[in-house]
Parts: sequence; structure tokens; C-alpha cells
Amino acid sequence: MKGQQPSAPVDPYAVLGIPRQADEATIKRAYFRLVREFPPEQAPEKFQEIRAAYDRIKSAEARLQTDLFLLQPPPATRQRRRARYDLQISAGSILALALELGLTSIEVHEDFHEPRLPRTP
Amino acid sequence: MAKKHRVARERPSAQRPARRDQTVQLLLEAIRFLRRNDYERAEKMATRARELAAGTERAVAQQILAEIEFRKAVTGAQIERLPRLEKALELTPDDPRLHFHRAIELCRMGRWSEALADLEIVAVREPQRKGFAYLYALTRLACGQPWDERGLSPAEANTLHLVARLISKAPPAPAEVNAGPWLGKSREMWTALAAMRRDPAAVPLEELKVACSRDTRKSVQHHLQYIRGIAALRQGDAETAQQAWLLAATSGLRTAEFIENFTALFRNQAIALAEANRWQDLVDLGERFRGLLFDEGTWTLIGEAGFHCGYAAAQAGRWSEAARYWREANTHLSSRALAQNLALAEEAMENWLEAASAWRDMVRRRPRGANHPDALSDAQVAAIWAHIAECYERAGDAQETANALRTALKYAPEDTALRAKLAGTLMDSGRTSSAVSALEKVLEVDPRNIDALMRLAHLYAEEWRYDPTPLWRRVLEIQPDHPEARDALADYTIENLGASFEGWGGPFARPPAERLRILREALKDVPDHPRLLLHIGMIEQERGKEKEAAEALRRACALASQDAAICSLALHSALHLQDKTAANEIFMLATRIENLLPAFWLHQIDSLLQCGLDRSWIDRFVEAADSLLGRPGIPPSHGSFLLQLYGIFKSHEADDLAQRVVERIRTQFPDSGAVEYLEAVRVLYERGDQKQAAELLRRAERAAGKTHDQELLSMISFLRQIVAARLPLNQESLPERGLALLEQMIRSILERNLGGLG
Repeated sequence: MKGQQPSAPVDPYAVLGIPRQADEATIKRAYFRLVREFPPEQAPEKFQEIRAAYDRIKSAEARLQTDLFLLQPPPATRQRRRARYDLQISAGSILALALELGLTSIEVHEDFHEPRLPRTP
Repeated sequence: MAKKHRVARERPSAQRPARRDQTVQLLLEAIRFLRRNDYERAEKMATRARELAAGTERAVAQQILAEIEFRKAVTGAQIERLPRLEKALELTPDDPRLHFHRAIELCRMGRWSEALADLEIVAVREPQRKGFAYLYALTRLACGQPWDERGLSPAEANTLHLVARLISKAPPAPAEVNAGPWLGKSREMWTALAAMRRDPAAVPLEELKVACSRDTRKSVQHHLQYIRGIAALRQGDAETAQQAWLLAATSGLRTAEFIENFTALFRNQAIALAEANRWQDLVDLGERFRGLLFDEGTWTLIGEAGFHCGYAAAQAGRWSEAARYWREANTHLSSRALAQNLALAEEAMENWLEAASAWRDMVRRRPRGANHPDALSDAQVAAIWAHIAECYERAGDAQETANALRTALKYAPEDTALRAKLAGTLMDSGRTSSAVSALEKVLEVDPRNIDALMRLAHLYAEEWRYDPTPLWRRVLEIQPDHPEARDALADYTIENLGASFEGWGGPFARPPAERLRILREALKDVPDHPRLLLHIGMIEQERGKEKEAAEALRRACALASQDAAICSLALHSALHLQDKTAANEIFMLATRIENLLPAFWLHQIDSLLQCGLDRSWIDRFVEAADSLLGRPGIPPSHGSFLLQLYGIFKSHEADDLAQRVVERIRTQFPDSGAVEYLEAVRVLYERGDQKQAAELLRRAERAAGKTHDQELLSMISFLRQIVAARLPLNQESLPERGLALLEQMIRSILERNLGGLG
């Protein structure tokens, strides 16, 4: 039930040189090819690494648990439709500019009032 | 009856002035705060006054509250302006100033006809208001209504005539724009607008550049920058458009038209960068647009770019960089894989709480449909929650650890390892009854779970209400040689004999025969347990049953021949017997204990003198210790060992033995520093000569330093502190006090060396 050690996440797929989506047969083929290449008598450490990687993904159940604690590659970016511009100068834009030009003469602070109390009888 | 009525009438009249005074006071306070622009406190006072007041005072309170809303509206963020002005108008609906400012905001939003309704009110109540004539005429123009030049300056009138032509179906050519006067600071602005209105392909960038540089007023600038951006895009220059529109957006332009175009630009640039796999540039684009636009699709794309950049960094082992990218991406992109990566990065940096939080995101984002290709099984969800619990555990958060484990158990209720882990967490955080309950559930599912039995027994042992021994017996039935269960059962039996070493003679102690029966009973469960045999031997020795005691002690030592603690107690007990054979045998066994320290024998000597036993053993013990001395790196040296031995003899007033030690130091180890040390002790405590003592200690230190005798150096340091402290030395009590200090020091060294031997 314990998760993989995250500070040194060894990717078993990378060790076996196969993609994440590889099916069971591909995993098995890759494992046996590597074992022939690195037999335990000649390369015991490499063999151990290959064996450990294979153990982590050889069964569907083990693979599901392993994948939970592995770095996930980014998803493929899907095609997106570009947006269209409206490059007309609209009447609204001109009116908005004319409005701001007129408002520059107004000082809002001049409109601040201080309410007064009525005189007490 | 009449009196009653009078009282009833008098009560409110008596209260009224006080209440009014309070209201007036509150209003004055509110006005004072308003004057200081402290709107929060002014509002609090005015609200309170409004609750209390009626009539005129209430109206004033409303005016103050309206004034606060008005000021906040015209000085605050654009998005808050209209709601605040409307709130102010609810309080003082007749104030033309509020109608005027609401009209301005409505015009800014393009809601010209609504603005006109407000301006009609101003036209009746305050037609001379500054800026009103222009705004009124412009609004009528925008609404397609006739307007006139009454109250307008020549520049305002001229501007409105040009605006009318620009928005008409036949805009003027740039050359038709007259020389002014205009509102605004450049003719280029108007000619550029005329060109762009007339020709949808016109790109008067130079004129717009001049216009932007001449009129830098913020409210005008952002419209000009927007128009400049349109011109740039007309010739496909997205970079200039982006630059111009970023300026427009940061200076507050929020018209619908602008937002639509700006969002399109943002999205198109993001798509182009994504298509070119320029992930870092896409992340940078997001940085530039942060807080300006909320186009979900584009931000998702930027989140994906962060995912890519973080992945590249993580692949290269740059976890901190990866985490930075993924944290930011995680705010835009709700992806299970991203949360998983972020969690791994946080773990790599040992940010356990952040890691737990990311794992929680990960598990929360899982698809819920069982048929979904990315759906997680219950076992997987349980595994993640167990992992989250580990993160919390590493962060030291026992509460969250337990919570996470409980959640894991919801998905894997039969998982006894998880439940045992929960019990362990509960035990560690002192929640004993919850831990007991968790362990009992484990045992319901798996009655032969040794770990759960051991933990539960441990909890029972701590609680006087429960007997843990049946649980250890169950463990021993499953695994008869389980070492922890054997030791636990034996130790629990010994601890609960009802008598400690000190309490053997106490009034509540069990009689020796009863204790022996309990120990022998326990031996049936844990045959040949050396600690049980040792205690049997000690009790038999106490009872004077020499033969039985010797036999039990011998067996205990034979079964635990490398256990210094058992051999130490067994040897000491054997010394109490008349039969020397057993002591001899145990002594020989003890000499064969590996890695034994000389302190073992010092302890034996100390105990022997304490009990007044046969002193002829001392030489053998010293000899045994001697054989252990001088090993490289193993304390003490001969010098410091003899000094400790000297201290023990003196403390038991065995002066003849102490003198022999002194002789031995002088003849065999004259250069060890021990001679000077002893002399320092003597001059200090017999003569009170601190100066000479200090000198002798310096010499002792030099000698000990040459042989790297750390033990002696620490003794010297201890004594030097006493000398340096210049304690008031009473001549008469000096030798006693000196001895007491020496003994205290030696005991502390012994305790340090012996550890838990006794």
C-alpha cells in the first residue's frame, strides 16, 4: 500500500525503453531483450535494475499502482480554433473617446460635499 | 390613574433629548471621519445614527451615507462605480450630482439612452453644472437625437460636429478635418480616426503615434492605444497591437469591443506559440496577461505550457523549477496528471504539506465514472490516501495523518495493514481508546495479525485496566520464538511481581514464594527466558536457597552470555552466595562478553563494596578491567580508570585500597597526568591552595593532552571549574567536600559509561 519513493522516481518504462502506453506483450518483449543483452552473470546491477522495473509493471494490477506514483508526461495539445478580430473603428469607440475628452475638464473632488447638521432650536 | 398617564407620557419625553444628543454626537463624529477620508468609521457612525434618528437627523445620516458611497464610487475601481452610485441614489434620490455621475458611468458602458434619462433630470435641476452641456449634447448625439450648441465652448461644439460626421455613414476624408479648435491635443488623432473610419484598410500608425505621445491623459490614452492596436493588426503586426492593448488594459479600458478584440489577440498568440511548441514563450505570455483577461480556453493552454516546462525541468532533476511551473499551471489547469506531478515535485523537495495538498487535488480530479478510461479503482484511491497520510506523517501532523488513513480505509476496509497504521498513528498521538478500537477491528478481520496483537498488548500494558499477557501468549502460539513477545511477556511479569529492588522489604511486597510461583508460571510461556531465570536466582538467593539460586543464575548467564546487564546482576547475586563456584563461572562468562567496557568492572567493585562482600574479588575485577584498557578509541585510559577506581575506594572509605591505587599511578603511569590531578585535588581540599591547584591542573592537562586522554581531560575540566569559581572554602570541611565532589564526578562518569547496566 506504500507509495513509491518520490525523491528518486525511477521510471520503469524508461528503464525498459518502452512508451507508457505499451501493452503487456511489448513490456515482456522489451524485458527479455534487455535480459539477453544484460545477463545477470555479466551485468548483475543492470540486470537487477531491469528486473525491478519489470516487476513494477509486469501485471496490470502492479502497473496501475506504479503509474500512480510516476511523473506523468504532458497531454498532447489539441487543435484550437483561432479567434477573429473586429478591426473596424466603431461609432462606439469614437463616442467613448469623445466622452473622455469632454470629461477631462471635470474634477470629481469638486463634487465632494460635506453634509451639515441642522441648527438646534 | 391620572398619575399613571402622566408617568407614561413623561418617560419618552425624558429619554428623547438624551437620544437626540447621542444621534447628533454620532453625526458629528461621522462628519469628522468623512473630513479625514476615513470612510469606514464615518459609515459606522452614520449607520448607527440613522438607526437612532428620525426626521432631520435621519436625513443628514442618509446624506452622509450617500456621500460616502459617492466618494468611494468616483475614486474606486471602475467595476464598483455604478453599483455604489445607485446605492447613493437610493439614499438621496434627488441629488442631481449623483444623476450626473451615474450618467457618466452609463455612457462609459455604452448605455447612452439610460444615461440620457439621468441627464434630463440634471437638465431640470442643475443645468449650469460644469461639463453638463457637453455631456448632454454628446449623449443626445449618441442616441440619434437633435442637440444644440447652448453652453458649449467652440472646441466642444467643433468636436461634436466632427464626431457626428465620423459616426455617420459618410465619414470625412482626413483632409476634410478642419484646423480646430478641438478637444484633444492633436489634429493627428482626428485625421487618423477619419482615415480609419473611411477606409477599413487604412493604417495611420504614424499619426496615432503622434497622438499618443501628445495626449498622455490616462482616460484618453487608453482609447488611443486601443485604436493604435487596431491599426497595427490591420497590417498584421500582433506584437505592436499587444503592446498597445496591454497599455490600454492596464490603464483601465474595459469596453466590450476592446475586451473582445484583446481576448482574440491573446488567444491567437497563445495558439500560435502552442503550435510551435514554444512553451516557455507561452508561459511568459501568461505572465504578461495575468489579471487582465479571463479567457478560460487560453488560460488552460497556458497551464498546459507550464505542464510542459515543468516536465522538462523535472526530467533534468530541477525539482524546484518544476514545482514553480506546476504550481502556477495548477491554478489554470484542472488536470489529475498535473496535480500528480506537482505532488511528486513537492515531495522531492520535502514540502510534505504541499505534497499532501497536491495529492488531494489529484485524487479529487479523478474521473468518477467507472467506465472512464482514466477511472481509478478503489484500491488505487486507497493507495493515494495512504500516501497522503505518509506525507502528513512526515510533516508531523498526526490529526491529518489519521484523517487520511480513515479516508483510505473507506476505499479498502479490509486492509489490515492500513488499519494497523491508523492504530499506530492514534497511539503516537495519545488517542489510546481510538487506537484500541482500530486494533480490535484489525483482529476481527485477521485474528492472527502479530503486529496488531503486539500493538494492542503494548496499549494494554500501559493501561492498568487490561491484562496484555493473553495477547502475547496468542503471538507465541502463532510464532513461539517471537523475540519481542517473549521479552515483553517476561518483562511484564517481572515488572508486576509487586516488588522492585527497592521495595522488596516493603509491607505490600508479595512474599518470595509467591513471586517465585509467578515467575515459574511465566517460564512455561517463555521457556528459558534469561531475565525470568535471573530473577528466580535472585529471589532464591534472598531466601537462602543457595543451590537453587546458583543454578538459576548460572542458567540465566549461560542463556544470555553476551548480555552485560544480566551477567552484571547475576555476578553480584552470586557473590552473595557462599558457593564460590557459581560466582567463578559467571565471572568467567562475563570476561568473555564482547565489547565490554572497563566501567562494567568498576560497577562490580562499587556494588561489592556497597554490600560489604568478599574484597578478594576486587583484584580479579581490576585485572579483568585492566585487560580491557588501552584499546584504541575505547575509554578510559589507564590513568583515568585508576582515578575512577581511587574515587570509588575513597567513597567507600577503603583508604588502604585507595593508597594502593595511588602507588600504582605513581609507579606505572607517572606521565599520564593522573599524578598531577590527584595532587591538585589534595592541595585544593587539604590546603585550600587554589593557585597551586590551578597550576597542577595545567600540568595534568598537558600530560593528558599528549595521550589524548579525553576522560581525564573532562575530569580536569570539571575540577578546574571548581577552582575558577573560587568557592569560599571552609578549612575544616575541605577534605569532606573535596571527596564529595570527587565522588559526584566519578559517579557521573560511571553512569555515563554504564548506561542502563544496572
